[in-house]
Amino acid sequence: MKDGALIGSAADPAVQLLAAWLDGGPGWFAHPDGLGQGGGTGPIWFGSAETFLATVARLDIRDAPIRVVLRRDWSGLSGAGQAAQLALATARERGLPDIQCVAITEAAAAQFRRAGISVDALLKDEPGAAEADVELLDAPWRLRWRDRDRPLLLDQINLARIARHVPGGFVGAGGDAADVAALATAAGRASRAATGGPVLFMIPNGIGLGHLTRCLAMAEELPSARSVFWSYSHASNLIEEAGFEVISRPNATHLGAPVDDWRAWETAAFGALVDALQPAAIVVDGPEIDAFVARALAVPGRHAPEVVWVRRGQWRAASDTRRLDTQVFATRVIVPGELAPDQGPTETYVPPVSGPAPIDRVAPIVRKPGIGWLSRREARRGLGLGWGRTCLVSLGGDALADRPGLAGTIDRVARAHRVRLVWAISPLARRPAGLPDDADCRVLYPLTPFLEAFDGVISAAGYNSFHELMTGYDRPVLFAPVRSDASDDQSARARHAAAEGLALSLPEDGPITEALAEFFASVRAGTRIDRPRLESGAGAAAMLIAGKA
Amino acid sequence: MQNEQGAEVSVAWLRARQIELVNAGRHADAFRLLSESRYGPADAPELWKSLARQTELAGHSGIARLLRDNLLAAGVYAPDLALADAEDALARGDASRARHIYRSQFAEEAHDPRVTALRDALGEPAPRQARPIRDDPNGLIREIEQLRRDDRAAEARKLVELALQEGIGDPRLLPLLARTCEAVRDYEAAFEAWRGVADRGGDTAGAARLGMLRMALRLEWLEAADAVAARVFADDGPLEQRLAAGLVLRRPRLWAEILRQGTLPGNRAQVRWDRVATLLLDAGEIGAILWLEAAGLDLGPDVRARLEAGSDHLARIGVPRTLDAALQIRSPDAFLPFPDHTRLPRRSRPFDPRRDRVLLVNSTLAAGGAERQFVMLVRALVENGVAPECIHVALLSLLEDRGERHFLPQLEDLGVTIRNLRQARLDGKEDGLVGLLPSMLRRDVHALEPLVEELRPAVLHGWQDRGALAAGWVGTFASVDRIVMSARNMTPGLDRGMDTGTGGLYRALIDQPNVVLSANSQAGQADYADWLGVETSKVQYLPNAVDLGAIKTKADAAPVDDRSPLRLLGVFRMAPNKRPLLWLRTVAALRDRLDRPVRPVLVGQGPLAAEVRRLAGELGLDDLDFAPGQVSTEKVYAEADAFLLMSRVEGTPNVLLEAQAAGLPVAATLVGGVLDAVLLTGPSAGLLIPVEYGPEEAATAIAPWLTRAVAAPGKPRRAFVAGNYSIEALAGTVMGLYGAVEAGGTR
Repeated sequence: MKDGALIGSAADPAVQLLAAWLDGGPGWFAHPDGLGQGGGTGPIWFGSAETFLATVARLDIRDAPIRVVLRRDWSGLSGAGQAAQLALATARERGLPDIQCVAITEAAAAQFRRAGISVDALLKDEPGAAEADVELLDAPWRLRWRDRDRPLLLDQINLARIARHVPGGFVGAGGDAADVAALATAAGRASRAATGGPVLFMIPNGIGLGHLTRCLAMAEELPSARSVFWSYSHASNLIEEAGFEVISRPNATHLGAPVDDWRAWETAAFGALVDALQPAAIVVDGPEIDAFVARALAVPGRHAPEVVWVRRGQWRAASDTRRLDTQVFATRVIVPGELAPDQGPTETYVPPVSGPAPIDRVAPIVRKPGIGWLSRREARRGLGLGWGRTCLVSLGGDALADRPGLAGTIDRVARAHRVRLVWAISPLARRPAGLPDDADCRVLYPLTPFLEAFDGVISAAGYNSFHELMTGYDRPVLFAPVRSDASDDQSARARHAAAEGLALSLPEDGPITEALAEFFASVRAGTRIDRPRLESGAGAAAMLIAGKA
Repeated sequence: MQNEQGAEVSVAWLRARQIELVNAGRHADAFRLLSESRYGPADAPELWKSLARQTELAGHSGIARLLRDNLLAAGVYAPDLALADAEDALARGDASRARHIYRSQFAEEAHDPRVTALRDALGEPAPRQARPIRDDPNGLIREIEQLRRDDRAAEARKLVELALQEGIGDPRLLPLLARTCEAVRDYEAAFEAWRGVADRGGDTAGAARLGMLRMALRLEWLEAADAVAARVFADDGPLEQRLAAGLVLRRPRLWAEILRQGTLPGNRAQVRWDRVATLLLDAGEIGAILWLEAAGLDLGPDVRARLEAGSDHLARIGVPRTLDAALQIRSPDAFLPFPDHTRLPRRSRPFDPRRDRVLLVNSTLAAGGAERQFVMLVRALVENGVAPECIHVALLSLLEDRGERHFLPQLEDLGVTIRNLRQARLDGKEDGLVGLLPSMLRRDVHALEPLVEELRPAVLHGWQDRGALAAGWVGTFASVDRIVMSARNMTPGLDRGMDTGTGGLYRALIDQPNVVLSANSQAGQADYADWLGVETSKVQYLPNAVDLGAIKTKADAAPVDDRSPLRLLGVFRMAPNKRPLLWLRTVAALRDRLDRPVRPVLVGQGPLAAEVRRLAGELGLDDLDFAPGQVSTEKVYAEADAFLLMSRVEGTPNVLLEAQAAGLPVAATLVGGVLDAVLLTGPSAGLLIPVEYGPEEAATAIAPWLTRAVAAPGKPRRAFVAGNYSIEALAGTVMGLYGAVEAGGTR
């Protein structure tokens, strides 16, 4: 455990790597941009002579030893040598005659010594770069994998995090790039991901329960780890009810704030939480990794957590693929399984640049309820249902709005088949418009334990509902996919289920009465359907998050 | 008066005839021709002034006096001529005429040292200071500022010095002294004045240290520059000052770090962002400006207006997400390549020397080799058939105070039209893309654009990097048929280890179908081609020229047994890249290796002049003949026995060519274009010295060669220069570059 400070630019990969290499612990300050003050009497490191020159006038340094990292710059040693000489002269002016200069590699140190500058080398044994997987380029800083053409711009990426995932090491074109590449190789081999820390889940959006449910499913499979949720969901109370800590945050829309301002606030707050929590992994379940997450984690000293992106598939063809480009910020991508073949951009789009993250596919992630599945008798008693065929209708406001008159038609056809309806209302939503006045509405979350109470289910085809019904329920199901969903291709799931004989699906266009009649007749008949019984992928995903897979 | 064809003579005809007669030494005929023409001094003053100067130079003082009398009578007496006339009269014992001229022309002149000397010699009273200036310091400051605004910096400086001598303690005077010294390029004095301001402390100390830093870098006093910069960075002064220091030092990582810290939330309010934005814009750092704008900082009305005016061009760049990325976006490179419409085919008609206009552009006419060659170029054009009225010469600055008119008389004598763009540079406001260029290119382009629009030249020829880039930019957007850019040295790429940022513009320009780049040596061709990443063939060869008529060859070689002191000559600027100290040490080492005494002769000014004197004393070279001012090169060469150059960097050194034209044996370090410029065959051959040699090795190489070389005939050396560096050769090549019908000129 050390104390001290590192001062340098957050965007400087060498500073990011130094923070990892110097292995700061409590009492250690890795200051991104400006002034940092060492805790105790530990050394104060400056990421470059230029940083020292730009900062020293405003620093109140008393007894702490000073280390200035000398960098061979873009134009070769002469410019760097002059910067070093100037730094030494400035130190004398400031009454700091005992600063110690440190070059990154022995090769650099030798060059500085030839220029008359007394300097030590940070890396005594420079790692070999013969097997390097990645080339490091500077001005601006970029990475180019050996087997890929386009380099990755390191503008919001902490190189120290990536370095752990590049076993073959880095090679630089010369000068500072060569030095930083050597440091990246060494730091990557020496550093490990944080272990033993909590897992920080991020639930990015405020609508729906899909992301929240999936994260709960995974968190519940991590019994030995503390899980903390950073949530923009309106249903954060459900997280607390599940027994997890939650930090509930408003998004820019909720606040009515400019997105850039909101992002700046979130960057600061999220970074502070990471510093305090020291998580082992940050799990983002959403359509992208927001820039504020990337920015906060690019800061030197925040290299330790793995960044896991849980990226659901089945995007519509017209989805914004730029969101997929944010994969570069992740160190691992987990793709929750889909029963229906995914033919959208999540399978077909190839990002122009990519990072180090492997892509792992797991079985469909559905949540196992903590109290287990209720028997039909228990469930019906719990819900106060009497005798007779009962069907659950789980259609949110968007599904009903997608097909005007749908609720009335369902109600009319159900009555004709003497099937009682229970309308599930989302904990996030009000009673949807268009329901019959005498509709039996219930708030059921999670739904899964109560499914046995019902003789059939009419549902939208979102990821969770679809996979809960198709992998854990054996009675008739009718899907009413939300056609207007911006990114989720519910129709593809419903079509697949219908084609496989696993469920019925409302036609995309045209009259729906016939399909409803067929479904309610099946419900009336007490039909059972043989569907695959799959183990949830939540356990496998949890193993990957915990670094045990 | 009619010409040979019976037509009434024109000024152009008179000028051409006058040049012919003067070149033939027929000054009296030239005077008669002018006197008998219908163009009196009031009608064609330049012809009269030019002839007055040339007859004076040729030693025909009587004719010169007559010419000046005519000018005086016509009321178009130029100050320099009047002063020369008065000095001449005094020298001849004609105090009455001298006094008459003084009283009519200079009675109110207070600060010119030549006038002061004349006044003292005539016993005339001082013109002013009857009213002690200490009575009205504000009036004094106003007067100084007015002189500065009028580009009369030397007079302003004298006035400041006078005020300081009188003990006026106004704190504004010392900074004014620094600025006026800077304006007249007396950088050493400016450095000392800034030091005085800095030592006083207070709010102006930081700005004064910046002044010291600028001067130290100008003077190549690198240790002093580091010491001053260390003070700037050690003091917690305004961020703008530290940023300016980083920019002056050309250290992007340093100023970027300073900038980044200024943008931190706690620091933002303490920074004058309008000043920062102006500094960055002037330095061409357009990416950093966009980054600051995206960070929500107020860049001030001037920069905001420029960004707005150039928004179409900026839209192509986009906003850099990080400062690291912003550093890669620099003006003008970010706006290149040129738009497609600039690449449309040009008129293919060959250049017609009798009809087509040529506009030549150079920075100044200061006393330098490149400027001398610029005048030679104009002369070559005139003497090879390009009508003088078709030749227009634009100078970006022509300040007397700064010595920028050194070659003006010679240029005027050629009868071409001379345009001083200095005033244009101060007028108006740039808009659109021009407003986003780095300050120097922006001002030059702004000044040159209207002239190109007015003249619509067939050829636009830029000289040296600054003139070449301005001409290239303006000519490209003005659709000039042919643009020639003539580099005169090695590449401008590296200066204290940093790229000056002109490579991208050069590359874009030579990619244009109508643009030609030339260099004046094979080494220069290769150097530019390598720097720009193009084939050497993309850089044309345009040789230097030597005016052999102005340099006489030494009559005979020295006898082998001559034991008189051997005068070893060096003519160069006393600057680090010329290595004058190595030159002295080499001469000292040479003394021990020769039977004959060696007398070192140095001609030149520069920041190391004092160091040269000190070292000469230390080495025992007490007989060093050191002429730091302007001297007659003809006389210097005539009195020397051999020539030595020990430079670290050279283009094609004129002095080597001139020394050989004078028949002198030459030894020089093998750098730049020296290989091309030295006769290397026969007993009269010169000596090439490896640039890495120290004084002992150099002296060991020079000694045996020098003994032989001074005994060898000088004529082959002159023949070498005549064969390779004649005005005719220059003219032929340049006419080829202009696309004349008969490439090779009108010979």
